[in-house]
Amino acid sequence: MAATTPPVWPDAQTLWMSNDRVLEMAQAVLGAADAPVGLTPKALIWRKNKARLYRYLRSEPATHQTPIFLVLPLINRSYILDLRPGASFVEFLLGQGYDVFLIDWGTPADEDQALDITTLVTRYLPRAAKAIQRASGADQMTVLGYCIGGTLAACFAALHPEVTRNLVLLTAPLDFSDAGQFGRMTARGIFPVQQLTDTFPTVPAQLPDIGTKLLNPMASYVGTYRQLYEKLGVETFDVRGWQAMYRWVNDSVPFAGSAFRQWIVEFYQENRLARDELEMEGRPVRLSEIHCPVLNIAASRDQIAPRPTTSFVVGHVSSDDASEILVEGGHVGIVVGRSASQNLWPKVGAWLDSHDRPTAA
Amino acid sequence: MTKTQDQTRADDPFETWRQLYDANERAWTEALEQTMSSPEFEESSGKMLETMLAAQKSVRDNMRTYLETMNVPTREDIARLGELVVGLEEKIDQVVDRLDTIEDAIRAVPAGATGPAGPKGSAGPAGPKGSAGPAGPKGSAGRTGPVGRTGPAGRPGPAGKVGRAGPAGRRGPAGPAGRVTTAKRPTATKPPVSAKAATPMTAAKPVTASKNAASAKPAGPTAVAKDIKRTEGV
Repeated sequence: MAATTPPVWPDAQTLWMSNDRVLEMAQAVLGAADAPVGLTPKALIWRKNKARLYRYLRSEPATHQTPIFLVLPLINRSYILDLRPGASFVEFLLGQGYDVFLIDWGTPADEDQALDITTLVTRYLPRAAKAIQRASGADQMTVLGYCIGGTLAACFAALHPEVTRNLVLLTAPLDFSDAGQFGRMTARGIFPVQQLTDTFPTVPAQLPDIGTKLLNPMASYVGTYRQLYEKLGVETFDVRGWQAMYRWVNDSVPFAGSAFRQWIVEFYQENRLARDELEMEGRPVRLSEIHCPVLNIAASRDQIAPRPTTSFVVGHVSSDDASEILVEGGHVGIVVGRSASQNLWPKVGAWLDSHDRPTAA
Repeated sequence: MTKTQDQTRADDPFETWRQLYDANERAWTEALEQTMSSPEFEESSGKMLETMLAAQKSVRDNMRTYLETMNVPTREDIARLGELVVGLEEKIDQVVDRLDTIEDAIRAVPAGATGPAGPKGSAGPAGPKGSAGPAGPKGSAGRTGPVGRTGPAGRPGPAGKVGRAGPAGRRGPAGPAGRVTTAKRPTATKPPVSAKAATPMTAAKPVTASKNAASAKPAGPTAVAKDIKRTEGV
């Protein structure tokens, strides 16, 4: 009969060290809400309702002629593109010599129940663009949209070709015919969108957040902390960097009721943009009206904006100069982090540089 | 006594948890993905959400009734105030848009440039009667009034009175000029930024600037004033 090994209980020192790590972990998680983010100096140059347009300050005049207009998603905080020094796309663009503007949609409240995507595209973005024209002195700009902001940017570019010199889409879903798990969860007859927006003037931030986390529940709810625990044992681990990212992931924004309904019904369920059926203020919104150079950046393992939703644009704009960069990674990972700064940003910078010259009249 | 890292890890209770997670993470993820992508899960999650919303609506309705009974403003009341403010802001934005359009139009007209021909000036008044010529066989007719500078010619002055017979009747004096009507320079609307532009940037539905820009006819100041008056609500 084989001798059974008695259970090995950790001795006091091991328990203490382990306990120490757990305390560090708790500190990292609980302190994340106050992690410093969005530190690049900026000035407010235009505002409307909760939306704010910022111009990032430069110590020297911009060396490029075309300003960059960053259009952010509606359900996330805008500091994702300016997470922290050294991990900031905005900082990178400033370093490349661009005049950088960013629209932050703010936090909608009950009074914004009727605020829809059409209003944002036809009344907010054009006025923000005008403010950019005035501030920069340039007639045209590069419009760069991230995630839902990319969808908005594409609609804006289709309606206002006169101000869009270049369009850059960063993991922006445009075709919802195969929208993955999100598409199935929000399908007509399953997802009670009308009841939801009737009940809540603004859809609580937790709802889209839970939906996103359910795309990969193990990694979202357990894997994050497992990684943190592991990394806390590494001396070079940057806790502040982890906290900044953790803060952003858990710092979602409520979705204005009408905007959410329009997003689910007209984009996800009816796929109007890709089917050339989308109208805003009575005007058709057609991707074929986009004639400017287009750069589409997609992530290979994107579960929020899966590949079929992002690969559509290049073949459906009228531009002679439409290209794509496919990056290995997920929806957020390709935008921030070390691989982004070493891999993606320089490519985007090179593309922007080559498209900075005025277009032929 | 200093333990090696390996020993520490082996004794660490969280190490056991980590190993458990690593060993099963893939299997659990696959199982969850499979479950969540099934139509049954989607249907059931939809129903769960519906139930939760019904409960939430009931709570909200009850709370509203309670607050109304207590004469305390509800969330809806406060939101309504906020809506009014947001609506006012939009109206101000529309007025600013129109001012921008006017300013752009003014800037677009080069200094010293003449505007296109104005409308016809009104007819000049009739020239006065020619004075009677001296006595002579026949008095000549009075000269017609001169043409107004930009208006049409003044009405012909009436004929001079027939004078008495004499050697030569003097001509009646000329009628005064017709009233000069100065054509005001019409305020041209700003053309779109480029020829490609379908509509101006602020062509939100209520803003009529797009109509101006699209029209080839330059609108006069009156038309612009009318546009301003036609500011619609949000």
